[in-house]
Amino acid sequence: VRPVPLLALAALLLARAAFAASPRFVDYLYIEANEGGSSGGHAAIRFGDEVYHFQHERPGVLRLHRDDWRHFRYAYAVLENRTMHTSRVAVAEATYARLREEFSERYLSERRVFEQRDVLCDDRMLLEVLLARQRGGTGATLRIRGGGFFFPEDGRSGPSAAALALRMHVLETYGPDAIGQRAAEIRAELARLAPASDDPATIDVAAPGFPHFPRTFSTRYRDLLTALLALRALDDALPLRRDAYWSPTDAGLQLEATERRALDAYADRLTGELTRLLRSARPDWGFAFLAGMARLEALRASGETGRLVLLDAFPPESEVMPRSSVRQRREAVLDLRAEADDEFMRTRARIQGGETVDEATFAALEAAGNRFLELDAAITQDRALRVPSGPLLPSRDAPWSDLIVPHLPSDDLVRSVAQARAAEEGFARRLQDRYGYNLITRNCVSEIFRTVSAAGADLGWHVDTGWSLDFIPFVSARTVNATWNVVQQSTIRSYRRSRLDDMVGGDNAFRVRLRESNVVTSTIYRRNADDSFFVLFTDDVVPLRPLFGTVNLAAALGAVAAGLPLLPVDHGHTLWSGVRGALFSLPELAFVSLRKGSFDYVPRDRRPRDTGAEIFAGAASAERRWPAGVTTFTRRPPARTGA
Amino acid sequence: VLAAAMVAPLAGCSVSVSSWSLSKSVRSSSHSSDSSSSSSPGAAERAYREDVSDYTRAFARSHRGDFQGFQADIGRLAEEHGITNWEENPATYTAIGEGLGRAKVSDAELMAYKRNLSGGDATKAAAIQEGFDSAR
Repeated sequence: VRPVPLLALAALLLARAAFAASPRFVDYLYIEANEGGSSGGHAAIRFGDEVYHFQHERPGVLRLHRDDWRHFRYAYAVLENRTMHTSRVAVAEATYARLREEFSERYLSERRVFEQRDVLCDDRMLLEVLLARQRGGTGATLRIRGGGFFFPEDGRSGPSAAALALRMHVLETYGPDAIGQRAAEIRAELARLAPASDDPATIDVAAPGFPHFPRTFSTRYRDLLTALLALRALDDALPLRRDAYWSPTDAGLQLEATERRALDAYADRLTGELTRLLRSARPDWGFAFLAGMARLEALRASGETGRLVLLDAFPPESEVMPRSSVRQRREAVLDLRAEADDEFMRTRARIQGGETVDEATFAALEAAGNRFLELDAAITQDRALRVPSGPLLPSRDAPWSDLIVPHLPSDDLVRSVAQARAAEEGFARRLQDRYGYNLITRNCVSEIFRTVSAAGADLGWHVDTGWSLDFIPFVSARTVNATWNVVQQSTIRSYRRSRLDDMVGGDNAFRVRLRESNVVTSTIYRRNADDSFFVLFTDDVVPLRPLFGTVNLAAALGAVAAGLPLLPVDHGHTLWSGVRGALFSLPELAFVSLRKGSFDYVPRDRRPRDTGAEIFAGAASAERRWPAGVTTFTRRPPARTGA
Repeated sequence: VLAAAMVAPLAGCSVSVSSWSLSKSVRSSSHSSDSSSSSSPGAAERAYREDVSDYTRAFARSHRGDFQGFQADIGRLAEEHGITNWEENPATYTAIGEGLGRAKVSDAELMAYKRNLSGGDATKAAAIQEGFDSAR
């Protein structure tokens, strides 16, 4: 046990006195290791439904992530199959607010910094395109976000009635020349646009306070060009492209009368909102207009046909699961479709129940519908499955070649390209310096404590990862338990261990353990291609661990031997799996179990009940009944000494 | 410990993202997009308001005057919550006011935000003031 100085105890007692009136709870989470990128374990901090944690990512940077607690638990304890240990820390209301603010601000701030990296890359590329244009090139195009709903025109029909009505409303409101005048102003502004003369070296990613970056040339250019596309789509009353929306004939998409009325009413309101948006002072109104106009057309089509017509909301950069994988995992995809269908129906039920539709409600309906329709199409049409990496927001892009080259001397443009390249490279270097991952000095643990420290929150003891082993996740959890005001410790078992505990509760405990001890006969685990080659699970058998590890090592070396001749056929998959298997068997010889196996999907009926809300509602009550897979330890009032 | 130390340097603090991909078909990993889930409309709006309020507080404490930059950032933030036309969402203005209140901006600064963001719409200005008052 780590000795606790008397000073720490005094601080702890003072902290207790401070929150005696209304305590709040912050959870420090330690997640046990698994193989691969998580071999050192992981740490996170939880505020209610939000979990903040730092992840090591390409290209060697550490970034703060924020996840919904339910998803975090599903990802780590179920899919990653890792046991989680929770230390519940009681804090004063003000401390809770300060801590959450600090993590939230750091999250938003980092996100802004990393966005800027992409913006600077875009800046350089746009300037290169414009320079090529100025020199007579015609090939390069820009992809304009939101433009893909209307452009390139597929010429399949005449003007859209919904767009014509919107156009008329705009002209009645602002006058007959409103659209043409606005377009002319934007063209003139584009022609006058010049890259900023900021010195790229002054853009400092490590400056104190919230990052502020001047709007770059490419951002201003793209915003203006997108606005121009929006005006053109409106002026020509363009219909939606045929591939830009879902219009299935499924009887389930028939609209009920209340639903139809609610969507019609929203379409009426949207007409007014889009008209006002045309005169908005926000610089990026073009994208919002294109997405809104596309939604308006889909809504009007829904009203006319009596069936729900939704835009295809999958972003252009979505990952794609190939058709072969969809076929292989057909059962899982069917289960996912049923889950998506349930959510879609729940969203529709809100509207059918009379809820007024606004953009947030409609966006939820659109996203739920898209998830269901994509999964349904993958199954019924035997096609690849798109998987979004972010929120589902209609943002189809379109290639655009009708570019306006600003009136700039060629030398200025050449100089701007060089400057943009220098800015991009310099920023990437400073980003690496500022956010670079280091196993010891800058990892998922050290940054949690740094952020706590930056918040000036007094949790009982200042944890310094620089001069101790506290940078190791499991050591940090012990330190938190010993020095912070932890009122309760609980453990959420990994998915396999939790299921195993349930099964062992029956009569044939030995037989169950024997069956579930290996990857061949296990009914819980199914071979996951992401896992290294192994035969026996070692996380629940401490005394036999070296023996099991020896078997795993031998099996992995066998996989290496088999992988060599298979190299031309499987491109080294078996070989690499065997090498990793051997590597992760070595710690098992010394009683250390890192590898637990993982899952690519767990059906709904087998997932542990969500404990997120219950844990927090229960606060520190010792009488609470905990769901399966969760064991708790409630700490008595502090009786610790400095020994 | 030695054996663990042998494999620990391979990497730490990351997760095998590929294994999530199938599950992401139904629910995205991000808090923001998850908050747009139909099952918890109240939670979705709360998450949006918190983000806008937190961002406004951070922005107002560090910068002054760049309202176009502020609007562009709000636009990006709103998109994470499925909202493109944030100017029509009353919660945006209340949250901005709340963020300004938490940042303890002066009355003159509050006026500047109200003037630049409300576009002359008294309802929007009132929502900013309401959020500001609630956070003081």
